[in-house]
Amino acid sequence: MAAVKEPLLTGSNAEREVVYAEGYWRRTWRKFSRNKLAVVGAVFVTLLILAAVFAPWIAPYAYDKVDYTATYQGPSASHIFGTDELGRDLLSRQLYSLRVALLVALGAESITLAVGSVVGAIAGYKGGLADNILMRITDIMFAFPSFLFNVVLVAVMGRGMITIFIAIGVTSWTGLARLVRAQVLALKSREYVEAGRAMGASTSDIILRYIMPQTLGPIIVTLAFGVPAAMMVESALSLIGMGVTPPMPSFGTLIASGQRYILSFPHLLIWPAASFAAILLSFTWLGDGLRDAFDPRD
Amino acid sequence: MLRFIAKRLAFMALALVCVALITFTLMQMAPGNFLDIQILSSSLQTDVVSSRETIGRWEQRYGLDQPKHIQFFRFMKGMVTLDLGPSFQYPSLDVEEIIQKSFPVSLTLAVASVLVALIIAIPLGILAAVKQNSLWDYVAMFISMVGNAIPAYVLAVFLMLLFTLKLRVLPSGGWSEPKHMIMPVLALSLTSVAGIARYMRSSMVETLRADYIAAAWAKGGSFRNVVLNHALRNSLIPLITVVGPLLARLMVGTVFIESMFRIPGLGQYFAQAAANRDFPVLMTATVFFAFVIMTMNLIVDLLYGLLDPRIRYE
Amino acid sequence: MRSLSKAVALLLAMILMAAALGGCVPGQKKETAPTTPTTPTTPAATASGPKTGGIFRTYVFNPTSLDPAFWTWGSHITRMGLLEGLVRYDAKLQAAPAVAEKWESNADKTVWKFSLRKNAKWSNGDPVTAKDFEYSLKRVIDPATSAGGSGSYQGNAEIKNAEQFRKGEIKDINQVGVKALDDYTLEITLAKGNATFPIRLAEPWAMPAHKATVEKFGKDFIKPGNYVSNGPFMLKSWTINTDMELVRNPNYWGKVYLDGVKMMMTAANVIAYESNEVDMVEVGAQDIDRILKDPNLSKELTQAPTGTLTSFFNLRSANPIMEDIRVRQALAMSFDRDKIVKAVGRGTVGAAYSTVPPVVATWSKEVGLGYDVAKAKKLMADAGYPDGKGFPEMTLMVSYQGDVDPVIMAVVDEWKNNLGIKVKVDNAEWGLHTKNRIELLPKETAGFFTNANNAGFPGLSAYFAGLFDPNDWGLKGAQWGEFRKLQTDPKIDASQRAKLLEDFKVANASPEAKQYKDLLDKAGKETDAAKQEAIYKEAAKLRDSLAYVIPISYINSVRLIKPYVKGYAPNAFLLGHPLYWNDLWLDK
Repeated sequence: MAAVKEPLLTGSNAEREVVYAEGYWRRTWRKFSRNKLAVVGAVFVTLLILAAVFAPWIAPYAYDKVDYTATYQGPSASHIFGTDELGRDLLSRQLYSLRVALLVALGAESITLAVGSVVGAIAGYKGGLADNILMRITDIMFAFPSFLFNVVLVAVMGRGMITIFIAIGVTSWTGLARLVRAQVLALKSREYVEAGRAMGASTSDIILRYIMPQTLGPIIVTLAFGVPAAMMVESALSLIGMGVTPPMPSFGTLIASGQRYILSFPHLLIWPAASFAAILLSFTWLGDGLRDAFDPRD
Repeated sequence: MLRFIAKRLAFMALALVCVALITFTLMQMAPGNFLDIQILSSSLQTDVVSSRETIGRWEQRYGLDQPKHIQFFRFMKGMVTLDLGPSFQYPSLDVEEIIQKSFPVSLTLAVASVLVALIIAIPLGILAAVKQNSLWDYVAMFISMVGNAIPAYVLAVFLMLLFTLKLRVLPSGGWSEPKHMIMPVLALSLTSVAGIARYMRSSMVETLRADYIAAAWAKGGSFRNVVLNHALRNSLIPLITVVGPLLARLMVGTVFIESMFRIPGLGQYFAQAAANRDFPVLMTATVFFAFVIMTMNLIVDLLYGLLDPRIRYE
Repeated sequence: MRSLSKAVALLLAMILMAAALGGCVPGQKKETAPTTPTTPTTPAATASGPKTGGIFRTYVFNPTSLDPAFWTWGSHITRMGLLEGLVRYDAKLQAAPAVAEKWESNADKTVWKFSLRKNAKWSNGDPVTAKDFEYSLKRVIDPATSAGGSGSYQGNAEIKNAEQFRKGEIKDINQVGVKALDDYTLEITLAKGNATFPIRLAEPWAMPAHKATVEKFGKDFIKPGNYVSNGPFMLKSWTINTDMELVRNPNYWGKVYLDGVKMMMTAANVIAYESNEVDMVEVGAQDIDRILKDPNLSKELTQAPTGTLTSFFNLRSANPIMEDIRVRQALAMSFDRDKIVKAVGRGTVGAAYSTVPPVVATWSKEVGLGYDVAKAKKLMADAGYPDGKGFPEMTLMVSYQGDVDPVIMAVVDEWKNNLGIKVKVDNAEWGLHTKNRIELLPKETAGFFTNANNAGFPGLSAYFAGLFDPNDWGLKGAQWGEFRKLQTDPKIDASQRAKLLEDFKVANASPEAKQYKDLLDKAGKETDAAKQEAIYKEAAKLRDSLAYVIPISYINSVRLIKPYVKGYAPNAFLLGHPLYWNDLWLDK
């Protein structure tokens, strides 16, 4: 709520306070910017996205440039993070891993968003039989042991980015579906929705233009938290050889091969693991901040 | 209440059939078959290609020459009678034996990890909630989040370096004495603390805002009485919804920890089974774990209903 | 502002900590490859002689079955201490008496008579008889026994009528050339005369199985508690994927020093060695540098060459580009094996110039195509691709769980630099990879796949018996398509199929492939060892010049061994594992 002083309409010089209802988004932004941790997270995430997009230009070397004269080197002037077993520059590989991580998150979350929000919206709005069936399907999907399902999918579709998008997307839409459904259920009996119905708006119109904008908040929060989740799944898959295909690096493969070198060339594990942790943390802080900001209370 | 349970069980049965069907269909679509992989894996090969006859005999033995729907029915029947036939990879082991021997190990590991995680996370969450937005809050949340940001297997590597190599107090692996549990449980629990701690915190914050808590403070209650007695009890209940899925997840996804610490659990079979196209093990494992996950959910819902008087199931 | 600065400070602290840990480890300067450690000479026996007692602990591969009729890596474990065959390997990998005390053959080496010792017993007290061996060998030869997996019988052992029985041409197993003349004499008849046949009986497939146990328990006979063994050890416990324990067999006739053996089956972990939980461990390239710097560990490091070859095999493709021998030879000659092996392998691999390893042939490097970039460039230009212009992108199919083997990536890089060609490394999931290796691939996919090959038995001829055969790998794309159809057509009768396949190969053999086959036939008949070796040398040279298979590297067995472990001799044909557990003793 923003307070403003306004002159009284009568002839006196008195003023009264008029309270304007603040916009939903305005209020959310204000709450968010007051949370320092969230702002740090947001800034970091922005930097990460920029680094990922411009990686081909920023990276000092190609991620697959081999150099036998410089294998297993520690951090130095020419290689800030050191080199790996083939003399490839670790910093460049990490930049590309960042690209891969964000791409994987983007791809997987697109699927999650598409499937989850459609399922949730229809189930919530229509109710009845449609709701029942869709929720049962969601339950079945939820019951699938996701790790096993990912592994089976990779075996079927072969390794590669698209497979990972699909695998992660397919196993994570259930949370979003339930969330959207709960929101839609709560919102569909609000007055402005009734008004819209009375005016003759179609179902899809009502869902898209009246209800969805209000559900965006929780959806955005889920998407923010989905990035670290997707990265974790990709790293677990890489560990058993079902992640992104080498020589394209990903944090999963960097960490999986790096942990063998912990005693001999620790930089090969420490740098990727620390960067991985930093990225996860930033997204988590961002997600936390967003969730607190969208919280309708206080 | 009983009607509720009955309806859920009926749905579980249906869901398990669906899960089995989906997995079965997917496995049929995966390229490569078990025997080809075996023969090509044997680097003693004198004949690089498998012969039609070998495949034929093998298919006969495992009933793979039957039409697909018959195979599926046989599998479902096996699930019900708990007689699933031998694994492809280990022809002298029946699948139900494999699960019987290794599931308890994975279960123990998962339960121990969740318990330790709770012991660490609940106090952290309470601290953060009570001192909300102060330094304590941020430190507590940061500690828990760091554990979350490091994958369990990386933490395991560090633990092994510290305790086995440098300090020489723990063995590098095995599963025959209680001390073998320390490192794997630590690795798994520390990475689960974040989720629980944050949930605890928000649940506690929620509870502390309630009117009856304000009333308890006003009546002159001590910290211990108000927080630990009234608030804690009510904020623990929602925690069940986090612990259930966590337990289920830990039971399935511990492949690397098991391999690193030489723990004879179920996780190791899966990575192998998928790569080797070991159908019996894969199908059984998927359906079994779906069953475990759904049972966990049912227990969570029932407990919730029991503990929270506001919720009643019909 | 407090919380913001706290957050930033914490983040910075993490990054700095990482920098400190990553950067401050000593000795990260540019280094030359480490000098290769030497193989230890067998130490003179101590004055008191071998001591008995103790449990030897190490890592081995993960077996899936202990039944000699099934081929798995576990079969080697049966041979190493659980079961004992008629013959065993001595230190020079020649045939030495085991259950059989002596043997003799007829003039043309087709009929062999083995006289068994009378004091050999199974672990349950039953005597080991020739009938046990007749039963076991027939059981292994019978394809119905191993219908659940890949059978272990090696066709190139050439036991009479075995192949015909397996193909279904002969229906009666008693026609196969294995017969127990009495309780202690076993007669084996071969299809072809073979002067070195006895050594084949030291292999895992020739291990005996206890008939009563197999008949009583069926497939469960391999479980601990049921398993009956005739070797120096008995099976005490076996947790799949985790570990296996053997314990001394009190009924064994020969010498056993150890009380038991404990084998771990997970990935080898050097930390376990350093914390004294295992007595021997294999070392990977990542650990060699730091071990060599450690004053204690460096003394315990040993290195031995093995005969396991990593090579590139031609992909079966509809694209004719690999059918040009100039292209293949150019590829084989254009990467510096020595440089790659030193820089990347750091002692864990040796350069492979030929498909015949130095462990069996002193002339190994001689017969290969060698390293000659100028010549390779000329060959490529002659074939129509000067500096790689116009050469399509090649596919290299591999299947690695983690990162691709750096040695292979190094070869790809050398090709790019020296020949100007592009190679796409296709790291597929294992099931898909194996399928791609067998099937005929479309025109867009041509190139190689990688494979590691081990010899079936320790001997020069093992590297010719069916491995890398130009008659097989020289089949052109279209021909392979037809061959595959013959292999998989369900309408063809089993007994006919083998002959059809054989005839097809003969009909489509190139002149060089035919020449190769003739050389092998000639070598098989040659009884003089030196002359035979000369023929094999010629065959090797021919085969390597055809370059259907490009040899890359040989695996070295690099291990840390505790100084109190005695009696270890690396088996060059099994990745350096000990030959037999009962050779070892612990000096403590």
